[in-house]
Amino acid sequence: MSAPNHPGFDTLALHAGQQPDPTTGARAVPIYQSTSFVFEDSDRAASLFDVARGGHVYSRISNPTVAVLEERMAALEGGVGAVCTASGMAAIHVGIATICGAGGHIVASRSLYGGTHNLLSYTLPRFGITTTFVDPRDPDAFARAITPATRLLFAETLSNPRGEVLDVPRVAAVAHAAGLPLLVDATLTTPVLQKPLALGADIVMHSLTKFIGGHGIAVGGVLIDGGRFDWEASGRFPELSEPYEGFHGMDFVEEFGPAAYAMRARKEGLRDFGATLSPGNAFHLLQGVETLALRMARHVSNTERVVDFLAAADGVSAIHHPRMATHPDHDLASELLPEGAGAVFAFELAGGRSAGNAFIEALELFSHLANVGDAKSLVIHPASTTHSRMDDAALLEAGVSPGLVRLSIGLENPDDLVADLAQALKRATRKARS
Amino acid sequence: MITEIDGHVVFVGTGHVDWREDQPTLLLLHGAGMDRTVWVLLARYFARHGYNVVAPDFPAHGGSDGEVLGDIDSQADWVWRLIDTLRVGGGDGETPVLPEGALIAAGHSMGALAALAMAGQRTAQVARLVLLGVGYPMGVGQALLDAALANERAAVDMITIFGHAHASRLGRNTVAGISVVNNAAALLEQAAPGVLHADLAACNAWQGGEQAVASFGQGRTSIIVGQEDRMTPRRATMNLLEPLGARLDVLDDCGHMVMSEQPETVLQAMKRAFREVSAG
Repeated sequence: MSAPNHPGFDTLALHAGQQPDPTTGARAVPIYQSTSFVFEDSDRAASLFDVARGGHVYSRISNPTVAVLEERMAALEGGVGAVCTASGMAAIHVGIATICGAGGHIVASRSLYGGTHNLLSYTLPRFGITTTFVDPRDPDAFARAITPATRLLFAETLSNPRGEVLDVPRVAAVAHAAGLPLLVDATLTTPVLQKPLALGADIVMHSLTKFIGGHGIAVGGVLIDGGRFDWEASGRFPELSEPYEGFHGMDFVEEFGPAAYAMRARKEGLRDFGATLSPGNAFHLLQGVETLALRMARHVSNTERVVDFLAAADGVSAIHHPRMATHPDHDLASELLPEGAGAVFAFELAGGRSAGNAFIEALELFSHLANVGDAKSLVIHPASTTHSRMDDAALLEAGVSPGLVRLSIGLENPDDLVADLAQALKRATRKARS
Repeated sequence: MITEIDGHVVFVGTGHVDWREDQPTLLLLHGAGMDRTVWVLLARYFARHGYNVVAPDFPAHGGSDGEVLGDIDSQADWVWRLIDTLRVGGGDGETPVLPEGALIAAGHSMGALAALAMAGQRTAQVARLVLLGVGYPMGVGQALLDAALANERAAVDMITIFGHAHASRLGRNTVAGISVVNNAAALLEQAAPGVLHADLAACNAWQGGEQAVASFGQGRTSIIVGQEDRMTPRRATMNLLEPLGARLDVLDDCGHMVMSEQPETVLQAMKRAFREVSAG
């Protein structure tokens, strides 16, 4: 036998999870805009409900168009299965709720997307799930925060907006030593820049709305099960390793082995919480997946050009991108993100808040809005928008200063991006002096 | 369910339905490096359609502990001991546990060889043999044996790549969101060091096929294989077909991992095989 090869990333991005439609021959993934699916007979109906045959029943739980996106994302991340959700936040919620109930505890990075911080700090405690926040640059801090009630460790692979790089192998080792899984939000890295499951993470989630969609026209999320965590051996997850009366007494580990988590996330999480991705949005997001690798390369090269420009520009006091040799995670990024440390980063203007406001107002090509990962370049002032629900202390902990400006670098001609930034910086500097 | 043989835990999948004494028993034996979960859909289906499903993890696989069984005949012996231990068909220890013709033995790949071997041992108790992804002899390439012996990732890659049809490697699972190939890889990765090699070596070395075939006889076997199976080439399958007088189902767009690649087609093929048992 010669050395075998799996299909490459670009091939999977185009083909994984789909064969041409057997009825029509359609090459593109059809949009199965149907809430429900006809049972050919009563035996098949019963078998589908009993999970004794594969197939679709009702689009809240699974849908043929969404299933293509799910299988494709699982293939791209190297997971055993995936569950798409209505948004990235829904993916985090289902990801946590599948293995964590009242009395449960999470150890999470303190550098998180504002929505995630809100969920962990304020919303989940109402349901009895608490979180201890730790410095993502300190794997030992994760270990120290683990209690008998802890059910998972959570962090972003690349944080927003200061670009903290998670040492996935070390934090995964901390989690596994305690019999716990590591769930990572890999939205800003995408499977093009890093495959966290291969580095030791157990579950990956993405906001598909961002780089993976890329077009800024569809909101969605995905949860990907690595299939390697031993839920049975851990002894902390009866949700997966003991009969669940809420689903015919099913023991998900006993029945599905490596895919236990993904199956429960679907059979309970989508069924009961209902944060389902629509087939139309799945179709739009699939268009983005097909060109993801090509786009991420351009996002990264454009970002490097912009970072280099800002590093030499007047009026810029700090740049928080791991490309900078002064960034605390520069070396770690070189090791774990060799294809580039993403296209979302922050920088600080010497003129503080007023200069920041002037800078954003002066930009002509960059769009001022609350999103990242679009094909178009974006800018925002986190303290007044994405992180506005955090008090000053929490802002400081998350690394957000009042004058911080966040950029999401798109796919435009890099000369045009640099020109827009240059003119806006000039006007901001003038404003700060006046 | 969990039972014990020689003080070792044996994990047995049942399709999550209690057994009944008046039902036939369907034995489902997994392949090299795998476990019972490869049968999940079929086990759950047949458990709800009149069969007592027995889908064990071989020793040192899945939820079973103990030492790996190093040859196919030992596996067959062990499975008969398991059947006797479980008393699937009832019995009080004095009467036969399984009436004649009360067992359908199905196996995949290595499990198919074990099923054939056990059918040759107690021919009267086995009503039907269903062999999936099977060939005889079941030669295993030296490169794969070497990689498995060294517990190298390449062994998992070889099996997942050569073991799946082109279409399956890209994916199109009927179970929403589950990657057939990556699930198989995860199962193989879970195998303890040395287990995959022991299984593959057992397949490669077994020479009891002719005797088992001669004992079991003709007309009671169904063979289900994938059109694109590169793990058990067709010529090896044909070595069993005529001597067993077997019915052959060849599944299009399917490789070696027939149950996960084409679960619905395999279900229909197995139902046909079982109807032939009913027809006598």
